[in-house]
Amino acid sequence: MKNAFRKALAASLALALVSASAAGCGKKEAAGDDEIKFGIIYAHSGSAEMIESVSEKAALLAVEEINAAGGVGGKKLVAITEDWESDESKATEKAKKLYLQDEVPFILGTCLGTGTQAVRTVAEQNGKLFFAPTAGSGEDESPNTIYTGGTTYTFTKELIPYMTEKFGPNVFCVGSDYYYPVRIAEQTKALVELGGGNLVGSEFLPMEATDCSTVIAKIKQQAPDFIYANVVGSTTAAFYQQAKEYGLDIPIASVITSEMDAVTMGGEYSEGTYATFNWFASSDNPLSVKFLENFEKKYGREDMLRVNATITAAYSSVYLIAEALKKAGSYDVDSLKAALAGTSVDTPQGKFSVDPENGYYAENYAMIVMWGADARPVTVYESDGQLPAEPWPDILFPNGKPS
Amino acid sequence: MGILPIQLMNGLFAASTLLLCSLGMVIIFGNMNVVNLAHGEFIMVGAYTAWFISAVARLPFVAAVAGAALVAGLFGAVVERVVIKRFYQRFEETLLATYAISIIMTQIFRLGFSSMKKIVELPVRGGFEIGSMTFPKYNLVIVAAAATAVGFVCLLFYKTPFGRRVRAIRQNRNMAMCLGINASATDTLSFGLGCALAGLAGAVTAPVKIVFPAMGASYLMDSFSTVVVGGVDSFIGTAASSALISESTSVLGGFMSEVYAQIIVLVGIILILRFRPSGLFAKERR
Repeated sequence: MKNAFRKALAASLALALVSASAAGCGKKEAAGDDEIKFGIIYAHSGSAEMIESVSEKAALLAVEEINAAGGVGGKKLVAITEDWESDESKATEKAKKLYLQDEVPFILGTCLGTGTQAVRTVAEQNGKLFFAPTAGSGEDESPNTIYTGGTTYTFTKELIPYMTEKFGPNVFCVGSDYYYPVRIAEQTKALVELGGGNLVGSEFLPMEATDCSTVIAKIKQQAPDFIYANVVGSTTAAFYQQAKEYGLDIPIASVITSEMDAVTMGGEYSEGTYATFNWFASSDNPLSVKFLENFEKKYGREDMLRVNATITAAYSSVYLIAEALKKAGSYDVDSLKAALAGTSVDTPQGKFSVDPENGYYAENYAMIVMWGADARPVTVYESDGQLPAEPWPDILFPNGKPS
Repeated sequence: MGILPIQLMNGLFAASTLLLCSLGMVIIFGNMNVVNLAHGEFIMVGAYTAWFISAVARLPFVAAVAGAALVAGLFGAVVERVVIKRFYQRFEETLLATYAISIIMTQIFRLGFSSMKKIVELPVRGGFEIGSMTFPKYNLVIVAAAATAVGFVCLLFYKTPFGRRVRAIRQNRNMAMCLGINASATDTLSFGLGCALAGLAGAVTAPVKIVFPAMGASYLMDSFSTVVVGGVDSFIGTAASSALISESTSVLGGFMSEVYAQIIVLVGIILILRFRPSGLFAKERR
């Protein structure tokens, strides 16, 4: 009852704010001929703020660099930024504002799944484009949404054989209880069994749970060779910390834990655990080194240490978009989408290209790192070249995308 | 070793945490009839104070806990004087006012400390073993803190003049005032005490939780359900309901998904309140 009351109150306050602010921003900016406008949506409060506020900085850095180098075909990129406050109804509202009122052909933004889904729906309804600099869990796709992080399946597929060879074939999956970790656990089960191992257990914790003692007890009972832990939010630091304190002496790997989490929990608890994704700060790609240098110069060391793959993808995505815009030569959704099909661009995360045959997921490299005592990653594995995104993994969908 | 003994122990640790976080609410909700929606935010203030004293000022953890109780308590007393005082016996207004306070506090901490999550280092490291089971040593500190805190408030409420005054005001405010009790000062003290206990809970549990501005929300509903099941104004009842809720969540969670375990326990709470609306340990009321 109290919760409902809180929500009602929050909604009415939000409504009052919106009507107040709408009065102030009624006039539409005229699109200059020497400008290309696009939207950026990131959260500046709520659960997604920690990561998304830094993502926005990375995207704006790329915009600044591209404009300083002469822009796109002589035109300057102009980003209109909006804050979705980690609230999916706000995300819908802001996406509509950008697409319909500001008439931008595409939006870049969001890391948190709820926001991504909301903006994606608006993009589909209005036939616009949406660049989500995050990895999709796969098993769905949208012709209007480009997941520049590819899919988590790609990285899981590289990680499982690596960990199996090193530690053994029996895996325990831990996740926060929402669709993303649940999908990952299903894909892991198929991959582990393919390699002759077993998924000995799979547990999902309530969102934002900070007491992991029960799941740790269950893991100890099953004694797996390694743990695939995909928890989010406050649970991440709690899980890694309690794993050490409860004497859980089993290797941990994750496709979600990143520099952001390692910095938060400190090297003491992240040390010796593994993570996989398309990029880590330990990348020796010269563009990556330069990106981190520029980022630190502009925003300071504290923010630079938090930069992870998702944040870097915001930066890389702007370069991908600029390249596609150059190729398209015009400024509408259809030609941009057509141009994206064959566009490939060098970014801090390696070559970026979009595969229209594959649900518009970007192709990616895969990296595996081990966290050091200083909470910084050390590369232990890199894939040979780009990997296809595989939104419909053939071990789960032998007949391809279900119709 | 089966999972049952481990989960019974884990339940005990969870119960201590829950009890510690609910004690302040027994005073403010149970004895003062104020529904304090900012309860979780006072816990947050305690957790931030503990973080500041231990991680920034680098003082010992005992100082952090004492400082947290003091800061939260003083802040609570000020809030009572400035805001709560004006709304006694006006239920809806109190809800609105304390909800506003919770938003304001969250935003102030977000502006002051950013929403980066903070970790308070464990003052006691490592594990202890019972048979083949390992538990963090710090869990014992939480159990001891919860037991001490319950003992302290019981003595305070049932063995001191202050406790008698609070109970007298609760029974009949006008009569108590006629007998020369300064009700207004007692209110400020008890509200401050409730907030100090919340701050203490925030500090003691900070090393096993994550400290960030919006952390308070997760404590509110847990504390409310514990206090209501326990009979609203009873410290021992709240201790018993903490044990009941935590042990059943832990033990059930050992044999099924933790999400289902939580759902079953919540349904159980609803059933208990259906048949005993004033909680398990409600006193006879006139």
